Amino acid sequence: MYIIISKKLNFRAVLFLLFLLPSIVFSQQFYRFRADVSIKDKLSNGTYRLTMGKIYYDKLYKKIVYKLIFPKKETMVVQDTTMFSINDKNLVVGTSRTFLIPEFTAFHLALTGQLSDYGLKPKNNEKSIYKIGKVEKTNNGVITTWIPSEDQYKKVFGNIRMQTINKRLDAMVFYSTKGEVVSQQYFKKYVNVKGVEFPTEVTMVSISEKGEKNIQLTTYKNVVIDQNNEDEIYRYKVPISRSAASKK
Amino acid sequence: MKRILILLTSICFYFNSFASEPLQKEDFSAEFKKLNTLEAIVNANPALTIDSVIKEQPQLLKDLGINNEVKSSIGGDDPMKPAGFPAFWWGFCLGIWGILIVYLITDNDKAALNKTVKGCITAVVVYGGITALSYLIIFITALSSTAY
Repeated sequence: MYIIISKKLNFRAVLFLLFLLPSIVFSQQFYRFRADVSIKDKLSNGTYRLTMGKIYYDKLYKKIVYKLIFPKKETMVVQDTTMFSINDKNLVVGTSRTFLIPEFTAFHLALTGQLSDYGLKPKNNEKSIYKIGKVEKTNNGVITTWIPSEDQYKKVFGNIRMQTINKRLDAMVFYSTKGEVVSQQYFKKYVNVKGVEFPTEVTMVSISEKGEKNIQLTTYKNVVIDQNNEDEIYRYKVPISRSAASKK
Repeated sequence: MKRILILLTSICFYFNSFASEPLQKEDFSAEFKKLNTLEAIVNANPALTIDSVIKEQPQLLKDLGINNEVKSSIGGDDPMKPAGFPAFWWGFCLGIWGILIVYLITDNDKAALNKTVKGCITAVVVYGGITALSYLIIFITALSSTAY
């Protein structure tokens, strides 16, 4: 009798492992990212900028919150396409449009497991702007050339070349429609936190039409995934009150 | 000899193509050497602000071209260059439409709008001046031809 029950239990356990476990493993969703961030810029005019603080991102709220300590203490919240600057008295001191889209940040892509292809691979039934044009295996890794999927996109978007090493995104080059390099991005020094792979050193080189280069080096430290406190920062409520300076 | 030359040329071409391969990262560490010093100072004392660093390390910030009006690099868009195009030229090239576009892109940034309006006025003056000048030339030409 015991043997029969035990066999039944084993069979159930095998069924559980076969059908349920993979879905548990593969459907593991990460939702929060926090890190200390340092952004160093060298601008084409020879001047420098340093920005330091903490970055908070929750993929459900889709808000990027920067708690900056340098060059001044302020909070910057990116929500939809607007960036709010909030001073230490909790007053909005400035708003501006931004092209920083939460879904295309390294934090969102890392949390959703899409960083290796920078989210270019089309999701289920979604129309994608890019499609794979060429894949090459080299000594440095795999180089994928992404090309605009339709002729109408080719008028606006140039090709993207992407290098992956051991399935990790290593470098990306963005080209103009004329085939000139407009931006280079390098993703180095990966860490694995709770199963999320994240590059702690991101270098971006932007090249203007005149050939002027801006170099930005972003380093992340103390990466925390799925933090379950500091909720008020992740869901940051932008204050309605504005400072006198921002009303002018 | 010819073979050696071909071989040497191909080696040179290989190294040149490798060096210019944009997927290979250049070493930028030298570019940020001075900023690393500033970063270390802030890390040692997170309560420091730009004003206090200017007082304590004026030469360092002068070398870096950083003053107390420097902004953070979050977002990255310069309101004086909406969509990467100077505000003045938005007004100069597109007139009223340029003002409207800058208003929408910069979320009513007064300084950028001011530049756009100036661009629009300059365009009106330039266009008006050119038109007046061409009418004047036509008038003078017509007058001189009637005199003959």
